[in-house]
Amino acid sequence: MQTTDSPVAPREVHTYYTKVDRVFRGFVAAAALFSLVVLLLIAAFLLYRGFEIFADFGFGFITSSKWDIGNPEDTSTAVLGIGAMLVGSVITAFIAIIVSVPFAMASALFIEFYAPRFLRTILTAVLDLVAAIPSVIYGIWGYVVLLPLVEDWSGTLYKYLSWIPIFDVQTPIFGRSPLLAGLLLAIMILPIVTSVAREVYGQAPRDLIDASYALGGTKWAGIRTVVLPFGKSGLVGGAMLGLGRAMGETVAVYLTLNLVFKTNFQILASAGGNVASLIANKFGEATAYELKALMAAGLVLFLVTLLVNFLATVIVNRSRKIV
Amino acid sequence: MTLSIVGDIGKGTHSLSVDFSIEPGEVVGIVGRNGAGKTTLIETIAGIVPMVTGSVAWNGTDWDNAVRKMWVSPEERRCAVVFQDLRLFPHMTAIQNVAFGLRARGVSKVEARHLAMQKLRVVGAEHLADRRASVLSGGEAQRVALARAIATDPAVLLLDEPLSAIDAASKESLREVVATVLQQFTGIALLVSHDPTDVATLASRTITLGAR
Repeated sequence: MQTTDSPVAPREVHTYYTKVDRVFRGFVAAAALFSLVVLLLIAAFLLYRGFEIFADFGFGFITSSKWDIGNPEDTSTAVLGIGAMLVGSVITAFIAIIVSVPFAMASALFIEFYAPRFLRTILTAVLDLVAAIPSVIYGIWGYVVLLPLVEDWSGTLYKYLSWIPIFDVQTPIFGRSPLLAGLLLAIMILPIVTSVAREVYGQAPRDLIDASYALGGTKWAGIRTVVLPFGKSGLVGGAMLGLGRAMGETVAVYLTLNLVFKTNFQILASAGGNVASLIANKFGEATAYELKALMAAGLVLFLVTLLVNFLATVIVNRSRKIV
Repeated sequence: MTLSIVGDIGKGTHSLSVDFSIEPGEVVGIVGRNGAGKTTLIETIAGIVPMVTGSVAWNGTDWDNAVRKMWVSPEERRCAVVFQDLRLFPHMTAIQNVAFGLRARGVSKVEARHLAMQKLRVVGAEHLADRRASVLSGGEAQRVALARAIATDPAVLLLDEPLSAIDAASKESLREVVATVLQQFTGIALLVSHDPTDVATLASRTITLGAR
């Protein structure tokens, strides 16, 4: 047999499709590309309708916190900026992540490693149901049930922790605050973060977990030594998926957070907002120019959530390959 | 402090009847063809796989009794295993792997590191202490796995094909290391191997397993 050290060029292989195959291939390709086309059309639509706002205000549209339409007859009198809303989006989403991730980890570990089989089935079904509850129901529940509780908690936090700037308020009257919205968002994103956490923890190498037991490790030692390190990057991806959902949530935040155009880092204060709730709040009565501003705000939100979801998908996929 | 196992072991649809006892200081070689149940026997004694019927008892105490429904979890059995595929924790260093069992039993970090280093010296791997397990060669990983097993001074040491993944050149030196460890070991040792040389060199008696 003759051998050679020089690299061999790969052989080109052609597949010839029948007519039926070509038609079917075209159909499924069109279906797959449809979602990409919709994505691009939405982006193009938002850019087209909001371009004038970026031209008029430039980067100031993202950094400015003032929202004043001025004289509807004269658009030059308008001062429009979503800075405060972007900060609000980040703060409420951040609160949601800080609260939901530990609960999601604990839930996922319980379901995967501690729950009896019947309970695992029930809890998994319950999580799916919780994920399916409409946002407006969450918003109403948050306003009616969670708000009084958070008002009490806010009073306690202010009483003992007001020396920390984020827990300080100018007037100790508590209501629809970033804390309330953040906690509600935490409950809303819990199913998705738990679901991803369960998936990554379930893929932790079983043989290494057994090895930890056989060397005297308790179940917690096995989880700490094997499961958590292997699931680390996957959990980050799941948290980012939850972050993307939280940043884009509209109705629930609209019902539980007072829309105030002022950058607010005090999470107990009844002031804030996020970009999505801004759009929901202003859309019905917007002038033509204000509508363009809302489209521009929508484009910013669209790009931010797209970026977050893309990064989350990359991280989750990479964690699957590692496992 | 005798280890006795009587009954059926198995996974899935196959089971195997076993009935033997091992006295302290003995090194029992377990031989048999592929699929005979040698690894299953190790896993059953370690508590990873339950007995189908019968019992495993150490010093008269049931670790697993299928009739009386008694079960001692693996972490509470005074066992340690050198797995055929080693199963070192790849993201941890060699010394962290060796210290794992000690830390799991509540030994302080400093003390565990000290004891782990002692065990690494026994197997001639102290120079590997701070190297990640994922970058160790086969022979190096085998030494670390052995050190990890003896670190907690177990009552029962289970060795599943400890020399199977080693090349011929390294095998002789590693066999000497295993022999040294077994000579110093005062408990009960089971050595699974399909290599007659390993069994002849290391074991004090041999049991042959056959599947039904």
